[in-house]
Amino acid sequence: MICDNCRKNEASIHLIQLDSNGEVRKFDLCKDCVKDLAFLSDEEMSGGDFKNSTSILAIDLGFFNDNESFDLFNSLNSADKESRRCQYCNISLSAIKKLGRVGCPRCYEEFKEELNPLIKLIQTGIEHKGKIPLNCNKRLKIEKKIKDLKFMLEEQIIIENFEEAAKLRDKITSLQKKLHYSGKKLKK
Amino acid sequence: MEENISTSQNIKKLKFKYNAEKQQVILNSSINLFRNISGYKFNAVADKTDKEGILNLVLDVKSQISLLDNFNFHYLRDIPRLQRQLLIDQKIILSSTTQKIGSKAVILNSKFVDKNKLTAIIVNEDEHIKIECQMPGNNILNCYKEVLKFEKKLEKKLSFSFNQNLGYLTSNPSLIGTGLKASVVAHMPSMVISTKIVDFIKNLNQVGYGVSSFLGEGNEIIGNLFQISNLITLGKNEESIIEELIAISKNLIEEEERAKEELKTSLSLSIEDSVYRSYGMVKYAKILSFEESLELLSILRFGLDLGIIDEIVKFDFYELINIISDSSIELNYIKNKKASLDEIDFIRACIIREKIFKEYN
Repeated sequence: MICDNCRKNEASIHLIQLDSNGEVRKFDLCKDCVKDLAFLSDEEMSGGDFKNSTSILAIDLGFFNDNESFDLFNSLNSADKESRRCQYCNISLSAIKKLGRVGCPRCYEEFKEELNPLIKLIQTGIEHKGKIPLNCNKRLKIEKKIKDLKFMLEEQIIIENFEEAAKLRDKITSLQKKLHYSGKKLKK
Repeated sequence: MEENISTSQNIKKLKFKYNAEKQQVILNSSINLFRNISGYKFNAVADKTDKEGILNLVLDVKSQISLLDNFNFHYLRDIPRLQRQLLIDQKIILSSTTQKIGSKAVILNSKFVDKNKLTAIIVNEDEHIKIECQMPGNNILNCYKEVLKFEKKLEKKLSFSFNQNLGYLTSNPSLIGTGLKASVVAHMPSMVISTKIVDFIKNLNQVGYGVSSFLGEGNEIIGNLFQISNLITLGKNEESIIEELIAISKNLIEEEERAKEELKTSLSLSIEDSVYRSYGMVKYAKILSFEESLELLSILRFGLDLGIIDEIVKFDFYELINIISDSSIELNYIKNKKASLDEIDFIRACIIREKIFKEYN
């Protein structure tokens, strides 16, 4: 009998659960999965009292189901042969839809057409306005700075503080020049 | 092996210093920052070798960061069951996650120099890295500063997945952009009794903030405790998310105070009754479940603030919540013995009496 959880190892522990409605659920699990699901440490697992231990009852069935969904991923991913796949991590589009998770950073590029409308729906727009990594390239930093300044410029125009706005505009043009210049240098 | 011993001792000490006199609307603030390391698949797809690679990478980086000198690296699989449950109850790690514990790790401060904050770095949960900070009370800005300090150090050594348009990338599309989840736990009995809370939650949802149970999403609201956190992470910068949550917290406190004042002027017999009923329950109950305790303590705290009752000490609600969780009782009051649920409930009732009745203090 194969373990219900990992679907790999031989099941050696068999649990029968009665819930309040009188429904019976059977689980066949291997030792490794019991350890995972019941949060047992190595010594608790190897200890002699394991057989009579109540700690095995600590298996959280919600947790079990979650783990099931994790292994569901493998079956999901291999199920739909037609669906498009990410070239890098091989996750299929239908698996992403069902899991609500993407597989790797490149998925966001691979499935741009499908994901961007969804992202727009749950977030405000698809433009990052927050901080950027310290070690990203200089160009990105300047571009980000320009974005921030343009945002500030709009704010100043709204409150009709044109003096400040003019200063910001000059800063933006000088940064844009810098960007243009560094772009040329890169091409050479 | 030594690491193991320090693990269990270390995690036992997860306690905050509290201030019972201060306002008791915002009980707790927390910040979670999610990051993924570039060059690796996300954890939903990653196999064992990928995850081991991430663990080793983080372990290596940890040793290079002096800020993390006082922090210990624990594999989750080495942490005993009870301590692990305590970490779950303290909302440091998730109980249900799609990842197996085999490859998960948590980096915790070993000394707890500062009892007013709890910082942890969790590796290989749903995302590669989660930097977390919790502080009691209304402290969201300080939490963010703390998290940022650690993120900066990590960012110098690690390269995080980043996209110019989408910001920091996460496997869960609802976290991309800033990867920042800020939340506060609010205790709002007056708003619930006056049913104003319904409109308040609706308004919060409209501005992109979600309200869930203190026990985590999908659970029932108990003890008039609400967890409020941002739903939107992309298209706003970090500062505005924090500022908005601070404004919301301020608004929450004001609204709760206003509702309280209104109730004070038109005190009904049924409110007084429920306060004294809870008093009687706490005083004479032999066993109290965690959920029931939260409900009773919430009403007692409300009675104290309203001046209905003065037979009890001005207790700190959040401190008590942390003391009376199952795992905390098992760890601190029942040593190395397997306790039945009734025993735990009995001890819980005793602890509560000890903490709130004047004759014990």
